[in-house]
Amino acid sequence: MLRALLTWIGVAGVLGSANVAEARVEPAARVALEARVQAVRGAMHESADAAAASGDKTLAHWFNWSNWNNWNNWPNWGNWGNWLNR
Amino acid sequence: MAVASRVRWFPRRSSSVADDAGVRFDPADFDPALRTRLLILQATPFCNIDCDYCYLPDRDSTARMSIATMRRAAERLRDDGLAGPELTVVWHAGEPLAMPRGFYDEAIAALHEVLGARCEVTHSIQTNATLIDDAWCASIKRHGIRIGISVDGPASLHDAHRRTRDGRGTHARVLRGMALLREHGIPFHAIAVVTPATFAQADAFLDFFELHGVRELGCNYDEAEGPHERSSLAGHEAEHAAFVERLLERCADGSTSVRVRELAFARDAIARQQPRQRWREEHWPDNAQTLPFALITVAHNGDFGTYSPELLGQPSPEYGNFVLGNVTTQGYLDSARTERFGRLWSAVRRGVQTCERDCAYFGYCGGGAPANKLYENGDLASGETLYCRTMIQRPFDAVLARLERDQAAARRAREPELQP
Repeated sequence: MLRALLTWIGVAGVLGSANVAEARVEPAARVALEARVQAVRGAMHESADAAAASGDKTLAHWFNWSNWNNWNNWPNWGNWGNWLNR
Repeated sequence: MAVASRVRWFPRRSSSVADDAGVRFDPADFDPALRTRLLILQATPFCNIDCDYCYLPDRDSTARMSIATMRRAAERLRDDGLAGPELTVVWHAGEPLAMPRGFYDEAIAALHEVLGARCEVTHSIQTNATLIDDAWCASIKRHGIRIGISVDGPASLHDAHRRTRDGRGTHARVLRGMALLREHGIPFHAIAVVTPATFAQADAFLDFFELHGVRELGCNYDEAEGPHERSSLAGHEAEHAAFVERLLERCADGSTSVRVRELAFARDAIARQQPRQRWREEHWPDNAQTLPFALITVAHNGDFGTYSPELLGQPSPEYGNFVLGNVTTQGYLDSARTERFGRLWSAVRRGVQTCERDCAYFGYCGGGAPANKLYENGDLASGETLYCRTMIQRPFDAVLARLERDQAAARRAREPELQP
């Protein structure tokens, strides 16, 4: 009952944050992960552009793994995948 | 493949978790407009089997949704303007094939009648496959229903958890159902629940799906939710990381044609900027579990809820069992004016803000899963969960590291040609 009341007046967020405070991510960790993603994303972009310009599709093989020709195409799922955050 | 954008994601300034707890919900605050993407309809809570990790509290109940209730659920969507150009309807939260086949003939026709002119509706059924027969296959083909099979891999893994009420394994019946689908030319994906026992058999696990014609696989884990209070993954996260690495290795080297949903989604999040919403002129993540009414779950009796589908009907004095209303008496957006929804919306929003503040993966996830926050941390407004580490972070780390290695290898391979 007390918890419900606290939640209603918006205090529970402050209390609740206590159990995640230890997990707080330093800005440097976020920036470092973002830098890695941007580096890979940029390299994918450049390789895709180079493959398109030269006609040499092998230039993009390093990220077009194996026979996953279209990683983003999930015809049997529709928005069902949304349950997993997307 | 397309790499759509190099635009950087700049996390906006850190925000106080509790600073806007009193903000009222207004659908006009969202841009683009809120649309329901996934409508989960519980035709019946009943399930003909009794898996030991199931989160459904009423799976013994043989209650059924009426066509009138189902029609009302669709009408509410239409009348609230939540129906966009596309809608996926998933029949789930119980065993859908425990219903008479004729129910779906009527239900699909009624949904088309209500929504057909406004949006393209596709139907999905997530089934344990034990009740599939030729007549079901004909019905599935006739309606173009997408099928997902719940199967955990080889019999030793599957039958350890997915049993009948008298304790018998269901694997053989599932294989018969999958074989019938293949005979009828019906494509299907699979969702497996993985446990520590699975981790030691990564290759056998993947080979099972390859052998039985599954090309799209989702790897859930036995989440601590509802009556299933403890996940077996606790204390086994290092083994899970090795399992994820092995799946990725097999997928990337071409020794399997099975695509793993979590790995594919991680790769997509790395390859391209994820879509974003705006809420009150601020960035808001495009996470269907934290966007109000992006997912709507309607129970057999017309009770409805939003956010994580697993929440609906779970005991909660604080949130009224997460029932926001009943379609027979109330619209979805009407329910957003209630105090109950206000409390829920506030808590979910603060949970997203916690993730934004505390998690390096926020830009690629968007705030996690409210149901897991509640059941693991006891608080919808909390942050990281086992779900986050299992479903988002480890696949992301594995895929990113692999791409970095493969990029470096590709560069080294090209270097001799680049020498003057």
